[in-house]
Amino acid sequence: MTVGAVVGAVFAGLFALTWWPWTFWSTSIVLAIIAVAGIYIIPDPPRKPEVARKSLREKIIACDFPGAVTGITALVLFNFAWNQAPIVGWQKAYVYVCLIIGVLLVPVFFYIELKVAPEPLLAFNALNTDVGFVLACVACGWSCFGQRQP
Amino acid sequence: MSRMRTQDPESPSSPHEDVDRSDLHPRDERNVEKAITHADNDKSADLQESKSIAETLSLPREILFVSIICLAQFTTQVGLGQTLSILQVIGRSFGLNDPSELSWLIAGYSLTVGSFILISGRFGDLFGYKRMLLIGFAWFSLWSMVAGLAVYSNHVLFVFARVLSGIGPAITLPNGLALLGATYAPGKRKDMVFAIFGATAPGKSPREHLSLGVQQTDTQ
Repeated sequence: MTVGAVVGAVFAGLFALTWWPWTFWSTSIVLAIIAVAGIYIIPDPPRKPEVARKSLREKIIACDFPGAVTGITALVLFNFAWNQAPIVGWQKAYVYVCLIIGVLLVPVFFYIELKVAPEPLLAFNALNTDVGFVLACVACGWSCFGQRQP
Repeated sequence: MSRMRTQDPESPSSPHEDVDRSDLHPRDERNVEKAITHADNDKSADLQESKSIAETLSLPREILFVSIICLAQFTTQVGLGQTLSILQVIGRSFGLNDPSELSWLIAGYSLTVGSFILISGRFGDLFGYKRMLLIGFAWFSLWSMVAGLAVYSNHVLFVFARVLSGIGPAITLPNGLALLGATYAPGKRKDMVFAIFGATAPGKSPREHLSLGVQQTDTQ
């Protein structure tokens, strides 16, 4: 992409200063420019009428925070355990406790999505065999990337 | 469906109109059929009038628009690659030598990118895709700056800033895709735009290697 090349060139120029914080500062500058340019360039599609009618309170309910909290916590704890274990060892209590809590939160999350949430985060109507196969392929693809030992 | 309205008046008038109406009738039916298949394909069909939003944009603006959306994908990859490639340099400046400890400098970012995608798409549905996309970019920008400033502090602030900056891409990715979905009508052009979005992911690697090369010459 030409845009990528331009961004790359900008980065390259800044890297002439060769001090690692500039990697992040240059990213920060480019992102700020993108955000400001986006205000003028990106069209704002109208929201669905059933969403536009909602009050703020109804919108907050529609965010499905119970589902989000359990789902995100489950993912974070599960991943934290797998990352931390090679550093301190699986014997450490907090590592396997995190893993167990993370795994236990998965059924809680699905229970909330299926039974409790008025508007669940998971689009169950979009899940069919084809989508399932695609997701399985993606999962296998990403599983190829284990922990990198630098 | 403006055509429907022109056909609605039932009052008999000039013979001209009669001819017109018989002409319009089958076309109208076809329109209704198309609308039904549309609704099957795309839930947001009720938003789409006769023209999609993308068709109302000028070509230069459309190119810029798609580029910015692709940059959501691009910057996500850059955020990962920029740390991976210079991991040793960053680690050394914080006095970290244990390779497994260094892994948190990267993993903290991927962790939040992957987790917070769960909710950020819903925020876009409720509060507007454009607004969320811009918030995501601004958030990512802010915490990237903090990650750089961590050089004056310690590695805890660095990991903390990386973890929080990961929420930025988690917001920009789904909302960028949703913007493309909402502005384009189903068709070849939409497929092409989505393909460009996907192709941007591997596109970042030249830029990553560029930074790697520069940093390595620096350390020698």
